[in-house]
Amino acid sequence: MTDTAVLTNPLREGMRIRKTPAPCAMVIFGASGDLTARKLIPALYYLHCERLLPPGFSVIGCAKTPYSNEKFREAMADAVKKFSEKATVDEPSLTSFIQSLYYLTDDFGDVKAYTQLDELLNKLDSERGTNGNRLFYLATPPSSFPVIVSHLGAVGLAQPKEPGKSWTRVVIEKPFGHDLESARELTATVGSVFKEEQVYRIDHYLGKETVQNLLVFRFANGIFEPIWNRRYIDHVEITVAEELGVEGRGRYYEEAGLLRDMVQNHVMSVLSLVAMESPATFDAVEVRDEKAKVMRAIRPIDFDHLDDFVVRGQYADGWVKGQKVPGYCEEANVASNSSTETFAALKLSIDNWRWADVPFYLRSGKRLAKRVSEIVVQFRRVPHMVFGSKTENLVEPNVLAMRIQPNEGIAINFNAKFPAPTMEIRPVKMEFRYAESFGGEPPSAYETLLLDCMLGDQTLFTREDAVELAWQLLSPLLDRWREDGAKGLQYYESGSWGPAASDALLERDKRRWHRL
Amino acid sequence: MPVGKKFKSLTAGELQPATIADLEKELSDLWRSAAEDPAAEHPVMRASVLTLLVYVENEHAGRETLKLISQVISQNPCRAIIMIAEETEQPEGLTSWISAQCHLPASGARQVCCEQICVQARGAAVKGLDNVVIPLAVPELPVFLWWGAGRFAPPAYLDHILRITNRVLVDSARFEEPESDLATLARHVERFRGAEEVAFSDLNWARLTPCRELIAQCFDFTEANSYLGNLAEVKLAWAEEAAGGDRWAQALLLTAWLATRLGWQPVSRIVQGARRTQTLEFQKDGKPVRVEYAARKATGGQPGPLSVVMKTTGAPAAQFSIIESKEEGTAHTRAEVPGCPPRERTVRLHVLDQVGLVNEELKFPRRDKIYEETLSLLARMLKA
Repeated sequence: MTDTAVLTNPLREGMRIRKTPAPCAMVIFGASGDLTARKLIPALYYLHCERLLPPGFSVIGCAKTPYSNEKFREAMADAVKKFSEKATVDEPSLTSFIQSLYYLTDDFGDVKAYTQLDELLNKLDSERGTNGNRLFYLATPPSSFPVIVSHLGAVGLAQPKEPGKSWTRVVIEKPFGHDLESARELTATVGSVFKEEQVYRIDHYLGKETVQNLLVFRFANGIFEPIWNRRYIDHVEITVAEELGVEGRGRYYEEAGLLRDMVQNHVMSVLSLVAMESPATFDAVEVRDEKAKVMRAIRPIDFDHLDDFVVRGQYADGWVKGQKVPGYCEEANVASNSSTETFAALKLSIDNWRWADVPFYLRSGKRLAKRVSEIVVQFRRVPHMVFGSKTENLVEPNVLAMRIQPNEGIAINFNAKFPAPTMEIRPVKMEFRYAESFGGEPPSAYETLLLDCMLGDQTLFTREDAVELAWQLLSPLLDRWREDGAKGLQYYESGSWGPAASDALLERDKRRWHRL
Repeated sequence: MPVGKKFKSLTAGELQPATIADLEKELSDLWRSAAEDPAAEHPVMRASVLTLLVYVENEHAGRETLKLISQVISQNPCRAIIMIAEETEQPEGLTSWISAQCHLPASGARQVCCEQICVQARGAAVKGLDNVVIPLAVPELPVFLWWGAGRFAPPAYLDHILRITNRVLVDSARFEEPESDLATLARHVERFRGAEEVAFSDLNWARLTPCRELIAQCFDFTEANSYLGNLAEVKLAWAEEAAGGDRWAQALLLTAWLATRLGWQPVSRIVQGARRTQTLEFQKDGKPVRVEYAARKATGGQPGPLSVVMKTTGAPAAQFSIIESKEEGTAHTRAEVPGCPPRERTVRLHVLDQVGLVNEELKFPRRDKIYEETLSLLARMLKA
């Protein structure tokens, strides 16, 4: 369910005027941190430039770092210039934008600070017309989430100022918990203060145009959905690969690991979009219901035959883009005997009528051969080769590849006769790329998601049941790996496609990872 | 652009007699030579999301359009067919030339190439334009007709082409007589609204979109929203270029849009001297609403966006303004509502150039009902 402009405004009628949210104040906890400077403020600046933010929109940055309003505005103006992913930053718009920024220095572990915040919010309501609408963004380390949420509740800031007329929402950054137990605790803490319709669990991956296009591709085209099932599909591969290592985030990574950092959220979200049934409408409740059904249908990992389903890896030193790079255990703030995984490959099954016996192979890792996120759907081979046994090995199964990044697009491989007097068959590729067909620059994931959040559209945000279901699947695996320590950990050379065991995972099923 | 010899000659564009068979063969050769080019550093890809027909009435305009098309295809890959209809020129006949435009969307990517077909008709041969053009439209993709001939008054020989067209793009800023030409356009829009599925876009209307957005946003906050029904006075000022770029049509469109959305009924017009210094009077629920226009000279020959000041009745009154800032490409908005501090901000208000506007319009294959209603009211408004 989305807000319109809240008030009746006949000037807003018509397709050509874009929807802008009702005036509101956004409170960023962790405003002196990296996420605020790199992503949030540049995204808000571009929304401002594109006239997608309402007049009076205001940001209150909150953190312990002692800043004045002016100092914070200066720092954020610098951040826009430094981290802007788009070509132009113009001074008049930037000057106007930073005037909407305010800062509160305080210890947000102390409930008294929230009274001060409440006063500033009320002041902005009367001075800038933010109408009592509040968006709280938790850009802090996860350990601070419970205390901030509890204090917001304690001073009454979690409830809409004027029920029915104004709204209050909270945005929570991943990771949503550390394991099943902590996720449930966080859900309980958040749930004791906010209703689920106020909670926006942000996974920036879902804000990417190509991830959203997955639904359009599947449900706005008549030709794919009839064959999107076990009868025609042999298997599905989802790869989210990075060239980068931990890049100075060794301390965080030691606690998180790849499974928590990538698989529990990004990869599982993509899996559910690939496998879900058609929702009746593109509505937050319906889309998220269907995603949750997929998560519920995933078969629990078989711990008696773990090696047949899961590979855990860690990068050793190697070469990436012509540069020698260190192994994970040589990175700063990483234990020299760390058993934290930087690579994981999983074979999952979805126990429902659509997907029975269709394996879903997932892999994600750091320091892999290249940065690429792609979904590969391999169709079954033709049941009978009419062109004779000589051509049999030349006929490749059809493959549909959906590239999420980079070079976003969709490609289909099919077989064609090679021009020759004899029957020669070769696979050919039909390809669509966003940049080539549509040109222009798509909005960044944060622009999309921040705007959705202000408009009250939860479709691209993760619901509590999806979070819990993902943890239910993965938490036992994390427990097992913790018990095992380095036992079973596979090392792989940086710049490769992961450990050999990852290839073996598919080879056992007479399959192989598609070359990306 | 690294292309082979044959491809190069084709991209140069050589005049050929226009028959469908010849054109199709040329198109086929064009792509084959591109694919076989051993010297190409980047593989060539053909992309198309629509067919863009362009109608112009002389060769010079056709050549000028070709230059613009190359910028359009980077945003909207398409097959472009430029129709040059010179009804009064001789010798009579249909000729054509084909060329390709390629660009690299990103470093290391493939070249994206699009076809451009020019069909030039002279004398009575203009009646054969549809026979050549219609079969060349890419099947199953939307067809846009960019009207490059000023006032929209399609001759009868374009009837069949209009029937395969999904959307017509006109630019009322190029109308020589904005008032009568807009009224003519309104009649055509009405004519095609029924059985034919032809939608209309006006680039001049698209130029107004940022301004309309800012006006709408003025009334999004609670205290201001209640004043929307009480607007009593609107002043529109704009900068006029030394030559062309008439904004009078734009001012009329903006007025008609406000009138349709806010339920104003046109009453009368008061002309005070110069054509663009006049007042239109409306009524809403028996109360008068005045719209005043004032054109001023553009500084540096560059047109600026419309400046809009809106006031309400009553005391104290509310006032809303969208004023172009000195800094090029920005607008300053200010809302003064009784009991509230003034609310101000500066945002970007880039006025897109013609190619930018065409690119934006090509992304909308649907009808713009608000535009249609606006144009219809505008026709009534001008009769008042």
